[in-house]
Amino acid sequence: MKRRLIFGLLLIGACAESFLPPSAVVDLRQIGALVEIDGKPGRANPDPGDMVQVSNLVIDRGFPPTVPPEPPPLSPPPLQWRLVACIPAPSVLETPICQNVIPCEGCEEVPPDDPLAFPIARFQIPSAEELDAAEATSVVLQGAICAEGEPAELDAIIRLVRGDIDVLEPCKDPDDEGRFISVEIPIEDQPENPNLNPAIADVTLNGNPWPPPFDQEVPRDQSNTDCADLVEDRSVLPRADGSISIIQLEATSESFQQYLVDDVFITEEIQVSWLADGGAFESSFSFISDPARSAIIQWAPPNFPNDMGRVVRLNFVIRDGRGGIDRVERGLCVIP
Amino acid sequence: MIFARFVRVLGLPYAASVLRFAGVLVLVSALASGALAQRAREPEPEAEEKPLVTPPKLIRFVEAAYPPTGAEPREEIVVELLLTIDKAGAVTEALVAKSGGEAFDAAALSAARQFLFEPARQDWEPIASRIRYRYVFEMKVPPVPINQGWLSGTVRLAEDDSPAGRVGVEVVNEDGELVRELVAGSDGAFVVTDLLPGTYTINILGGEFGDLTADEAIAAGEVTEVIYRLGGAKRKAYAGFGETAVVDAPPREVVRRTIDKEELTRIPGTRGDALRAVELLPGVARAPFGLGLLIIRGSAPTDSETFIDGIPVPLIYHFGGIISVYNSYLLEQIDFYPGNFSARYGRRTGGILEVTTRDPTVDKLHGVAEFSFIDTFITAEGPLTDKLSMSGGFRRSLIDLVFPLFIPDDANVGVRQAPVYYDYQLKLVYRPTKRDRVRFTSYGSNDRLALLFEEAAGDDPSIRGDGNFSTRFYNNQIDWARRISDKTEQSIAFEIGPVNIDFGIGDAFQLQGRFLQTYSRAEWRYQVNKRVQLIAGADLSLTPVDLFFQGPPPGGSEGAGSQQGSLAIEDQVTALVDTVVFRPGLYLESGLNLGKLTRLVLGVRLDYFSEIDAFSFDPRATTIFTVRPDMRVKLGVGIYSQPPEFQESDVTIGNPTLEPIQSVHVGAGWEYDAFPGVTLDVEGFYKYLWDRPVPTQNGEAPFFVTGGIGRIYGAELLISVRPPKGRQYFGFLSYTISRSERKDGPNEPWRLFDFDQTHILSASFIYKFRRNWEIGALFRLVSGNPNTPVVGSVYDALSDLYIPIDGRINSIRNPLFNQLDLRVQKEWIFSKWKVALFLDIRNTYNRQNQEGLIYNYDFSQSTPLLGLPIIPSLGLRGTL
Repeated sequence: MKRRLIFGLLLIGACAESFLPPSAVVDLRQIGALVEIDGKPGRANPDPGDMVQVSNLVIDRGFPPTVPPEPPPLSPPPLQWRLVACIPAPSVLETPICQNVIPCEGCEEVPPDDPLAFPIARFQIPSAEELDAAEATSVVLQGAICAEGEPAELDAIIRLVRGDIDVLEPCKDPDDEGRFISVEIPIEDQPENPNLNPAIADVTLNGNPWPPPFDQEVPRDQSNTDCADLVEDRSVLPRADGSISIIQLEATSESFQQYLVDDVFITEEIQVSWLADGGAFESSFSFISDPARSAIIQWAPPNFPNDMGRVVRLNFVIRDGRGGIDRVERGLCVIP
Repeated sequence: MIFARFVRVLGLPYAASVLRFAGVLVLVSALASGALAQRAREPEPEAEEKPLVTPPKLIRFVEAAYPPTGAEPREEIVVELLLTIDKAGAVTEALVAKSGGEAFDAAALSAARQFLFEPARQDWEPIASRIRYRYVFEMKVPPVPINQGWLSGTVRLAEDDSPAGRVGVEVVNEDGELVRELVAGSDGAFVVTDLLPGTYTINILGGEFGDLTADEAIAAGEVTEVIYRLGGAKRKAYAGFGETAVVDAPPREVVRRTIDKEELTRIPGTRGDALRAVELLPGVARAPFGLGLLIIRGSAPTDSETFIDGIPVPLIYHFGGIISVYNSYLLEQIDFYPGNFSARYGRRTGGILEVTTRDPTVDKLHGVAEFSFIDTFITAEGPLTDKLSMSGGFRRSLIDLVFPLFIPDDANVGVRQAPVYYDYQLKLVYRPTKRDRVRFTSYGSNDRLALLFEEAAGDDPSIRGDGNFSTRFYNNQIDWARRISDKTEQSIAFEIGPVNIDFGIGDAFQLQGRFLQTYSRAEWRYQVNKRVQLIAGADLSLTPVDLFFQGPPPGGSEGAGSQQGSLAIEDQVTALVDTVVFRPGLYLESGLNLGKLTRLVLGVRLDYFSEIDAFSFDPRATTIFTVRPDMRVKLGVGIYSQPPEFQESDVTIGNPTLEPIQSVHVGAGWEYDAFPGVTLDVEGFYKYLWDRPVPTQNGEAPFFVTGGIGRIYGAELLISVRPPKGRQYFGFLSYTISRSERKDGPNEPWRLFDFDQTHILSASFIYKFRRNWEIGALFRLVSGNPNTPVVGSVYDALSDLYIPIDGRINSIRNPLFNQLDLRVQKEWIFSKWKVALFLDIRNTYNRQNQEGLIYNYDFSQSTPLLGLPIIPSLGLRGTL
């Protein structure tokens, strides 16, 4: 019944206060999960029996803010996670419910040995017989990730549904930042034409190659401020004066696979997500279709008065809607 | 069946006065029916001889009742009338040429229509003519004491409320002596003057329409006004106790609440929409955002039904609530049955709304045209022949002209079709004989909206691409009412019409439905004797359905939780339906008068539902005790059944082995005519539901099972105020306290119904001032609707969206709702037409009522979802 209100709400417009869009990163976020299959590079969806490694693509605020003269910490607080791999129970509910647990390496790190580590899990996809018996067409990696502090127990969601608890908190300490995550990994159903991960060919800024030093990624232990000295050519840097930057993302031609649906070949459409921990994108989602292969987005830098510059982390994620994903991170030093 | 309405005028303002009236005849030249009246003059010696014309001569004068205006008495009040007199000397038309005040105008017109003249003649041949008549009301010191009263009556036909014509009237005193014998005028009106106080038996000799006998009490110094209705049972009420009024409780239902045509279009905040007025009656919950959802006594909107002239209507409102699809100026009355309704209605467990359209006028052409910033419409009606009359209407919205202006330039939304709606109505009434009436009605509605979301809208990537909303239906119905004999009546109706629905949002949601709704009903009413009436009937709903659905699993019709998640994260199901839904029904009802004070109505109904291959049997009983002429007590109990919703029983996405939903209604009421014009109505109700379809755990096959129950209980109060005579004001206060709960399985806890509103208070008053100013106000204070909170979320990496995790269903509630609507109207009345300028303001003080919660993309934050702001509507209306 309430879905009938969709149009009404759209027509009515904003009848309430506006929120920050999904593109604005202000706390711990997972933005995707990259599945890599042993011996099958580039594949997005595994076959029964394959060994897979799932890298949870997590971004956070990095270093917590500090007020001078307090010095910033040398490293960000370590992420902690508690995950489970499983065969889901048959359901049309939005949240998968775990049925049969799969042994998993790296699923629980409370805390991890490497303080800068991201959640990466390895496990083996069950056999075709096990999947058929459970009527499963996918496997699930599910659980909680916390920016600091211990994650909640794995049965938290089930306990909420049962009524044992009334609030769902991803971390044992409600004040800790955290997320419940669910990664559904579809089992390949067209082995003769397997789904491949799309790939980002290039990201440019205002028509030019991305300026260094953060033209590949931003180290997790990079300070959020005092970046101006790292930049050789400041003329290409965005300025905190309200001027708009144009970012163009291009996908490879191979990213637009064709696949069969009901005996009809359909070309993949790539969904692009833009995220930044500073400034504002004009939208949070965009879509790329063949043959355009690129999307353009406007980004307004943050208003930052510090002459030493501020590092803004930008993440770009593309998805093919069937489990394939690619992600690149770039950074910009915004100067007044 | 015989109807009578009894109205007593409580005395005259000046008891010590006796009024006499004098009429002065003023002759003016006039043209009428092709005849020419000329002043006599000396013929030219050489001119052709001119015809001799003599004016009409009054041979029967009727004194008008001095109206109780409450104003200071004046020595003399003059009303000048224009009278059209036919060849027989009867007055066929009376108009006010110079007013002496509204009340005096009405009194003079009423009397003048009963005048009888010796007709005007041209060369001794009677001709029609028009004259100007000066009617004078003058004060005279009366003889003391006053020891006589008057009886002023009007005889109408019950089936269409038209005048019964020149029927005979006999007045018999308590000793059985015939004290007066007269013939009513062509408009059915008569006046009996100078009656001694006492009780008289009035015999109305209606000829083919039957006779009527009623006892009237005459008091000294008073004018007793009565309306008598002869003929068949247009309404389900009949005068078992000698009185039944359109607004009184009927004998077949525990409670029936009626809004008549005089009030339908005057409720503030409704923009003249009659169906909106139903929301103000007790037992009706407030729908959010002003949507046109009929939520009756804690039942879901799909549990209730609206009928227009006995035929179910597929869609009631344009775009879900802007305005109703049938023009209110073509309606006669709305009857509302919140529960314990007659066996005549089936397939529903909630309530019934019966809308009765008005038959076209038979005197002359009438019409209404209105223009406002939201829409514009025109209606017209009138006689085509002496047996055939017609009415029609057409409306078109104007929103599409301004809609694109409200779309922000950076919204990435293209407008393919701005929201536009049309509706039309056409009605033909044919009376081949005095026993038959055939009506053909055609009406339809068309709503369209199409947008293009160039990029994903907001935080939801599934809201992109084409967005369209379109509904169309065209109803065509014919009904035949026949009075077979003095005791037997028959009505047969048949309807057929296509219904098309298209609703879609990109690839995430598609619904395309094509239905050919056919409905038929046949009913016979037999008056066995004075105490017993039998009614037998059958109705059949036969609907070919061609439907395509693609989208998330539809789920149940209620109790589905927050429903905040994106369409993109839900599995998609596809359903292709090509079937015929066949639902016949039989009903039998008896009305028994157990003595003079008690009426018992027993009914049974049998229905079949082809989509689940199941029958339902519904026995029902109602009893009405007339404790006093001004006080009634009502009790009712009955079983009510309805089939599951389409998505719950469809073989692809539902469960075709479900059982019909069942409910028991128990109602008790007390009705009291506290003062003249003031009615007090208190009702208590209890409903229990069982065999409700509920979704299976995890939403897996068979998707729905029978196992849900519900309980609803509460009380209602209605105080309605109308003047004993006239329509200068009306108002009502309605209050409902209730609780509506559901249980979705044997191991599930009780939870609140989606639209449970503990307190519902509505107060409205409309007053007509001098110089035709009218001001009305409506205030509502309502408990907020329940809500399901989102207590957390799970990030779904496949879609890059967050899945909301609901807390307990309907465990929080919106704050109290309050709103004030105002309406101001100024009317200018001319001799043949009138024009009104009105301002209708909804939510006058711009209260920001909360209708729900909206969340940010990861459901970590929420903010109130506010309802509609102040909406003024300025309009101009002309009436012919």
